[in-house]
Amino acid sequence: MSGRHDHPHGHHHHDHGHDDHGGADYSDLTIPDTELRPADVSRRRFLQAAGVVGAGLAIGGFAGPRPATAAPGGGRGRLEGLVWLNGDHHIHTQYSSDGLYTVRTQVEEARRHGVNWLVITDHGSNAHARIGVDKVNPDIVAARSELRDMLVFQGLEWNIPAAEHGTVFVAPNSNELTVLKEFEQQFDGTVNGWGAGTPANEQHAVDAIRWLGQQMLSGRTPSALFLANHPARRGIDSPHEIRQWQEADPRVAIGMEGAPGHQAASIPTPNGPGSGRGFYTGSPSAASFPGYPLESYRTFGGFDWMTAKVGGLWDSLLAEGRPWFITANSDAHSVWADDRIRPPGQDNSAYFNANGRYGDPVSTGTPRYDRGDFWPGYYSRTWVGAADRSYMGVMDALRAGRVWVGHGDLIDGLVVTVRGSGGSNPPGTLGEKVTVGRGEDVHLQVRITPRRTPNAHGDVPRLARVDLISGPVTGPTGDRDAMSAPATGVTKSFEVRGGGEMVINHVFRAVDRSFYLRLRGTDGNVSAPGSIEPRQDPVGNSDPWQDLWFYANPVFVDVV
Amino acid sequence: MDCWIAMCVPGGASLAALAEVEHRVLGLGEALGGAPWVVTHQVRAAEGGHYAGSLQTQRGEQAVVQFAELADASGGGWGLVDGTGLVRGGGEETHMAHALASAIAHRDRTEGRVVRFPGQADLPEQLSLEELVERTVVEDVVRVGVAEDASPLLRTNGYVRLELADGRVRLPVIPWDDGEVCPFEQRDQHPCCDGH
Repeated sequence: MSGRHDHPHGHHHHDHGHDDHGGADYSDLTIPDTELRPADVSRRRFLQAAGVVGAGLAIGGFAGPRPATAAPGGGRGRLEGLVWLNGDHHIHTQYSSDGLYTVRTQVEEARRHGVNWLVITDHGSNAHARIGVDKVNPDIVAARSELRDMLVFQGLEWNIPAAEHGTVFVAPNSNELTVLKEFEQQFDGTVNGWGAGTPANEQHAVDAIRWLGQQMLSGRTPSALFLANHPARRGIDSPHEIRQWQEADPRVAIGMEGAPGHQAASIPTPNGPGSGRGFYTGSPSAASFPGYPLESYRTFGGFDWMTAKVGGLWDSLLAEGRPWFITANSDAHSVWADDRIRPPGQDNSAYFNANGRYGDPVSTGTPRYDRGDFWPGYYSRTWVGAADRSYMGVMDALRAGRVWVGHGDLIDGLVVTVRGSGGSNPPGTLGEKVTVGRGEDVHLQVRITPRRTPNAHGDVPRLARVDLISGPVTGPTGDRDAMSAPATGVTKSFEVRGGGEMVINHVFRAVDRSFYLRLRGTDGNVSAPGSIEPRQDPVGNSDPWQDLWFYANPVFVDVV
Repeated sequence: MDCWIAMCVPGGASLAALAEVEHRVLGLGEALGGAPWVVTHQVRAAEGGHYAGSLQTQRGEQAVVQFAELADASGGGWGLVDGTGLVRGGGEETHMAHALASAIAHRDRTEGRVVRFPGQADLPEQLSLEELVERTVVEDVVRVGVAEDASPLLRTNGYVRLELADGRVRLPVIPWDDGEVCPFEQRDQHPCCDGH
């Protein structure tokens, strides 16, 4: 479609070679938001955040990416009107070499379990890059068409060069397949033989993230995101690599899984695999970052060590003021208690390599309890506060960090508001930065909607305690491999009584330095010996339904 | 006289690469009539991490022949040390250096993952941590996520791998099944995503 268009306000014509969106020019700030399509409003916001529009620059005159914004967004001053949508950005299908289900099955199961958005993330591989990435796209497009209330993204589980896996996904448009395919072929660590932990391979990861950012700036894709998956599982995502990714393009590299998938893996035999929660059963290897302690290779209350350890790696990033956010997903490959298997004859690597997929699964009539995954939405949810129910709405919310995550539907809603007592600056919520004057009080309000109906396990979970965690924002550290924030800790714990909506109010008095706060909550069933901290999950037997937590992303408070 | 001999081969940092090194060194140990201690080592190098394997033997000359043959065939290197300061090595130069460092680390118990150790076959399925230190080669128990004041039983699950560090033989343990502990290293480490 031509980029040439008329506009009722009589603006001059714009000619953008890349412009296939067909709407009013979102880069022209003389055109009000109300006259743009929702997706173009999102594009405009993105470009404004990038510094591309708003300074008299037309997109066509923009030569290349600008220095990335590395700070959280400011308080929006509008906390009402968000649509809270839950989803899962880590799901596999028959197009993964260790996958099983059709796209349709995963989308239907997600829908059945109350999911609003999901990302299909089959593994990067030679077969996928050559065949699968093309073949899965029509299945995804069909699912979008047939299940219209579901937002189904196409993504990739990227073999990050020199590191672990990560979710990469883009907003749907006519280029989604092309961009994802080019990305996989150019930058997947397995496809390109870049698995070894060398500086050259680490640079490939940085280049890849920058490339995604360039695809946004050039208009090939409206939005692209990257999140690190199961980051501590094998100890190969070093702290400096995480910092490099985030700095490569903070609008693309936005965070990591706070909790991995595979949460059924620790259900004891014979009713489960009897493994480690999240299949976190590894040991340090020759590729691991040597500074990681042994405990980092296990989960804590189902959460990854990087997130669960108060004052640990995540906090060290937040203490630098980095917008680095967490999610929780299913990583669904083959699901606990499901009876389907790959069809005989279409279940082997030769078939997969020739066809880019396995055959459609067939039922056996016998539930398989040796599988470690739950369906999307069955146990893990990533809740995003979106401006609207749209693909860009979800991606913008993720990028903004308006996100909280939970297991087992411990709670149904979480609204966090932070405001300064001076009242001269807008309030903020999750992922945002609230500016207050030195000496002001900072008021935190947390509203929690309890779960009132049974979760997928048939339980009605009860929130027992909420912990407010905070720590100073001290700026960039000189140590690129820093993984602790000693000044961060639990500021206050709130015991929960009764089953109604819970409102927590807390005041940080006369603040004199910038800080951040975040929240977690628990059903209180399990904790570390002699502590309120989450317990290191025992291998072989830790019931995921008896140890439920939620975690919220941070709110930054900038004291000026 | 006891000596410690190691080989280092290119092969990457995967679980499969580790298993291959372990398999080769165990095989060499059997060919030597049995090796009481077999250890694998992490090698961190500019070209990427990989592994070395070492064993303790009194049949040094025979071991040199076998290790050199295998190292030559795989493009790796080998190295031998004894308690008197004797140092010998061969094969590809960089890997020889890694092999020598690994042999020394084994001898001095400063680094390594112990695959075979004296008394391993006689370990019961369950024993207390106190018994473990009193009755086996394990000198220290490293509690990972286990309270210091607890006295849990160790469930070996038939799979025990020790570590060498600071001149000591250690067993890291983690919680197992609510109330017991098990070795940190698990037999099934869930190879990632079919190995890709």
